[in-house]
Amino acid sequence: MSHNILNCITTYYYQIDAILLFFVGLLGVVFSRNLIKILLSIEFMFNAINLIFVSFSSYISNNSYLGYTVVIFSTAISALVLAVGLYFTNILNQKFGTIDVNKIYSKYKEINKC
Amino acid sequence: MLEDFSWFILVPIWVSILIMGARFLGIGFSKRNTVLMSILSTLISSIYCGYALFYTCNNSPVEVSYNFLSIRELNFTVGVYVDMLNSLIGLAVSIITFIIYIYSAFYMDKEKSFARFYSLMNIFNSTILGYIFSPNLFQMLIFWELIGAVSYLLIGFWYNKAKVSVDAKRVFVINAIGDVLLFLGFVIVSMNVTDLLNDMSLVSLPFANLNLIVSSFYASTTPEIYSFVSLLFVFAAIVKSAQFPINSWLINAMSAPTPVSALIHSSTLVMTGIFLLMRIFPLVASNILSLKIMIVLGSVTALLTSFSALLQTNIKKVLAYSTSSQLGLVIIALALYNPIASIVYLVSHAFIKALLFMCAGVVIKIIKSKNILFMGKFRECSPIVALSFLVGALALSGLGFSGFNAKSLLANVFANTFYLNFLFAIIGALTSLYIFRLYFLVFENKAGYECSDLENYNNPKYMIAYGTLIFMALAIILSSFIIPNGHFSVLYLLNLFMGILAYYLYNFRNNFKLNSTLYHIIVNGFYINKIYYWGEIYLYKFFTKLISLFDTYILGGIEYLVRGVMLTLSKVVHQLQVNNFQSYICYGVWCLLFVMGIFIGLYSMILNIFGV
Repeated sequence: MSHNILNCITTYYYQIDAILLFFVGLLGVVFSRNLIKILLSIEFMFNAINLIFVSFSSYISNNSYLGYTVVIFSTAISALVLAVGLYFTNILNQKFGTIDVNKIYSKYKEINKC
Repeated sequence: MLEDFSWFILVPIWVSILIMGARFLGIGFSKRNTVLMSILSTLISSIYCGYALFYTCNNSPVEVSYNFLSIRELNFTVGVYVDMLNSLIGLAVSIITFIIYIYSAFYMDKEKSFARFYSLMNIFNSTILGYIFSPNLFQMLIFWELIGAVSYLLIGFWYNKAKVSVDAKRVFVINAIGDVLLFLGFVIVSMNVTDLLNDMSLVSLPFANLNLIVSSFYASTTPEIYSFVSLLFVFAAIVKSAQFPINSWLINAMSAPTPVSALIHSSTLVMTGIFLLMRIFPLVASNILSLKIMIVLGSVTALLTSFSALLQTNIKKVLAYSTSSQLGLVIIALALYNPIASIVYLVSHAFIKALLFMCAGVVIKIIKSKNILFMGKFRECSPIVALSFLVGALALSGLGFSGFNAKSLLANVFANTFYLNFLFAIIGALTSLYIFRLYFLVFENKAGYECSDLENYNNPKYMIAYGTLIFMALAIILSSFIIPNGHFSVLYLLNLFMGILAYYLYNFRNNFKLNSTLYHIIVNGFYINKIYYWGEIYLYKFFTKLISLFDTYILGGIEYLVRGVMLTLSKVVHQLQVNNFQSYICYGVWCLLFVMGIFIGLYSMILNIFGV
């Protein structure tokens, strides 16, 4: 078993990977102006959390499926969130003609004259 | 009997409250009733003082005291302490006040704020009685301050004139120096005495135990501190009695109404300083240095102010300078261990100066000018005023009446030392010269108004004033029989010669044109007032510059720092308000990290504490 390369990759690798993934998502949320990009970055962050759950479930026991169950729920919720977000993006695009987050408010002020 | 009637000090205050309260409620007493009530209050006090004088001749002093202020074991007391000294001076003050109340009814007749004048005069009467009859130095200190405050109000009676209000402020501020000195002296003596004897009943320094206080204070301090403290008292008295370094305020005080000048700045207020020295005489007298300083300052004052009085053209200023110089003589006599002579001279001088001021007031009222070069021939218009002024002038120069006897007593004191004898002769001669100059210029000079130019000097309302003048003159004449008889000497001839010289100099002409530098120096009172003025200005400029340095560099630096910090912070916080979605998110992330940092720190701290 010991010469199997997969045995060298412990749960720490997964956790560090998850943290990196989370921060990539965070930076994406912070630095991107496109609303679709932001939603995608949020998905990145969801996936990072999912990875953490999966890796932590191995601490309970070798055959524990608790983490996997949570991940299934989490995935479903993230899909919902993404669907709702895309719906709002569509509406905003129809109303203001843009999905740039920094321009939406100024367009709103122009339209409502406030 | 004396104990039971100690409330008489409060009578003038009640009268004052009545007068002002009635005015406040819109009722208002008539002028006649106001004057009558005021006169009644002084009558009560003069009867009390007369009885007290009669009683204390044969009996020991009487003391009444109440607790005024209790701080832990310290009990400050107030009350009344009656012995011969203060009942004599109280009697003199009450009689003078009585006369001047009647006189003011004439002088202030057309004044709008008649009630205010009388209520202020009543308050002043009350404070001066409280001061004179105070049983301890603590009460003396309180009334000393009150006298200053009330005299400020009285000097600034016509406060809508700019010069008057400025003068009143100057007098008040200069008198505040004396307050501080007296307070300092009181605190030092009280602290040392109570510390040494461990007796907290002596904290307000009662005069009944003065010998004990002085001896224990002498025992508890070094000679240097003892002389310092006695000098504090001497200088406080010198401020109040208008002596040399601080004599200029008396000239400023002359912008008061003339009855106020007659009451306050000739007899009662300037008496208070010397009265303080008489009260605590054992404390001052056991220190040679302060006695020497009293002699030096007294003689300097007497000389300088006599010269200044000689050249003044303002009738009230002549009398004011004269007051300073006579009080200088009193202080010298006190410093020569002669309280009796100084008290006698002080009291007789108070009566004389009050009379002279009252005559001057009548003259000012009729001629409507204070310049003596415009006066003259006034004897023909109103011989009563001229005669009473002549009585006052003769008494002041020591040629007759009470002044003659008092001055003989004083001359005996000065006779032992050549220098003081010489000084006394010079001052006597100058006094005689300036007072007869005043008399001849005002009443006898050929160049002046015709009597027909002046209206209503025979008006019946002037009869009140003439009556008071006659009463005062009679008081001076009659009191010469009470004082031990005087004797004739060379000084008498000198004074007489000076009077005759004044007749030849001032009876026939009044247009003396002097323009030398010395003349200007003397006529402006040796520029003492100006020196203080410039000193104040330069000190003020210096201190303000010093303080402005602190302002610009230290306070300004702090301000600059705070401004910089706030600007940086505001630039950071500004990003929250710019409608930039990304910056909001950034802030969210930073806050999240901050909170996470706190939680991690707390967690590791808990781990460390429990040693996990």
